Amino acid sequence: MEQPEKYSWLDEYLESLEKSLGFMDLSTLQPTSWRHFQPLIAKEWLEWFWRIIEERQNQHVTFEELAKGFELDLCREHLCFTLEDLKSARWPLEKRLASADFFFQTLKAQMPQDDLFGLYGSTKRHSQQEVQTIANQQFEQGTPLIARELGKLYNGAYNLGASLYLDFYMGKAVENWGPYELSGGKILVIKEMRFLKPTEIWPTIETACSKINLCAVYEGVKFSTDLIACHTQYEGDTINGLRLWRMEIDGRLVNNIDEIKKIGLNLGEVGVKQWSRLVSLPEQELLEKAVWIRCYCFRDVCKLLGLDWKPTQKLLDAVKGKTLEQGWKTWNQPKGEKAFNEYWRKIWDPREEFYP
Amino acid sequence: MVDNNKLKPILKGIPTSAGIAEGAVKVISGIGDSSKFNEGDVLVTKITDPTMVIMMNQACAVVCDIGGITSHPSIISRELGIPCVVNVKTATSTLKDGQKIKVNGTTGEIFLA
Repeated sequence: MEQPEKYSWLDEYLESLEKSLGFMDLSTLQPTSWRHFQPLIAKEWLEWFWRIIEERQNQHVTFEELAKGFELDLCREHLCFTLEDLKSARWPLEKRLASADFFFQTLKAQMPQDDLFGLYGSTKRHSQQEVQTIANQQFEQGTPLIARELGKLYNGAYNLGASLYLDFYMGKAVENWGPYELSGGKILVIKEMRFLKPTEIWPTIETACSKINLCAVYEGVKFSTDLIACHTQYEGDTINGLRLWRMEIDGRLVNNIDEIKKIGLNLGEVGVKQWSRLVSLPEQELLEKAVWIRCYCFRDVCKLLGLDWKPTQKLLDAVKGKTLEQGWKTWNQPKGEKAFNEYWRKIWDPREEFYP
Repeated sequence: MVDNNKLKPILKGIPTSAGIAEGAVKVISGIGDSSKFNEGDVLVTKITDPTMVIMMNQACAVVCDIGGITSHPSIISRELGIPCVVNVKTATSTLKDGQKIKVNGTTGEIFLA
C-alpha cells in the first residue's frame, strides 16, 4: 500500500472543488448535466480511460510530455468527473488512487506556478519568465469601445464552447489564465478560445476561426477564477480599466475593430445555431453525442500515445436504451447544504469507501 | 415629492455583476423573442442560454429567476461590464414588458425607475 501522504494533495483539491461546484444548482446546466449523463457509462468509460494510464506507463511517456496534449482546465475538471465515475462504477481503491494521481501529475506538469487547484483564485499556466516575454510583445491601447467588443467576442466564443462541448466539457474551448501581476499594480489576463471548429464531432460547423488568443492588461481591476477556469470574476471597472490588449486569431495578429466585431458576430451566430442543434437532439442522440464529446476531450492525449480517440462501440452501446433520468437517480443526494456537501466530499474522495 | 415606490426595491436577488443601469423590461423565453428586444433593454428571463448572447450584448442589465455567481448570465454580464442579478425567483412573473426598472448589480436590488 502506498503512503497516504502521497495523496494529501486531495484535501486541497476537494476544498477547491467544493468551493467551485459545491451546492451549485445543476438545473442551470442545459440541456443536461454530467451527473445525469456520466453514471450511464461510468464502467465502460473507466475502461476506455484506463488504456491511457496503461499506455503512458508502457511507453514511459513523461507527464511533462503528456501535459502538452491536455488542457489545464480540462485536467482539473476531468479529475472531478473521473472521481465521481470511480465511485458510481465501484472501482477498487488502488485503481481509484492511480486514476486520481494521473490527473494530479499532469496538472503539476502544466502549472509552473502555485495554486494548482484554483483554491486561491488563480489559474497560472505560464511561468513568470513567459509572462514577461508576453508582456514585451506589441499591445494596443485599451478603450471602453474595444473593451466592450472584446467582451462580446469572448462571450460569443464562450457560448459557442457550451454549444459544442456541453456546459460541463466546455473547458475544451475556453480557458482563462491569470491574474499575472505586472508592474504598477496592473494585471495580465490571458483568454484562450480554441477548438472552435471541431468538425470531427460536428461535421457541419461553420466557425470563421478555430483559435483566438486574447491578452488583456487591466489597471484597478482584480481578477479571479476558481477550479473551473471559465468561472471568471472581476472586481473593478473592466470597461474603463482595460489599458492594453493583444489578440491573435488563428496565429494572426488582429487589431482592427471592424474585424473583431465581425468575428464576434460570427461566433455569436454560429453559437446560436449550434445551441439550437444541440438542444433539439433526441435524448438517445444527445447521449451518443455526449460520449463523442467526452472522448474528444482526450483526443490529443490519445494521439500522443498512438491510441484511437474515438469512442468504442462498447462505449456507445453503454448509453443505448438508457435515459438521463436513470443517470440522475444514481445519486442519493441529501437536501440540506451541510449534508449535501459531506455527501459529495465522500463521493469525490477516492480514499473513502463511500459509494452512491 | 418623493415617490416611495422608487425608494423600496420591488425585487431582490444575488448580485453577480456590479453596476447600476436603468431600462425597459423585456421578458425573454428564447431566441423567438429577439425581435422585441432593443438596445438598452433589461433582459429578464428564467436563466439565460447561448441563444440569448446577441440580446445580452445589447442589454443594459440582466435579471434571472435562478442562477448563482458562476452561472451563465453572471459570467457573460461580467465580461460585458453590465449589472446582473440572479436568483430573483419571481422576476419573470412579477416584471412586465415595457416596465422601466433600475437594476443594482452591486446590491442585488431592483427598483421601479
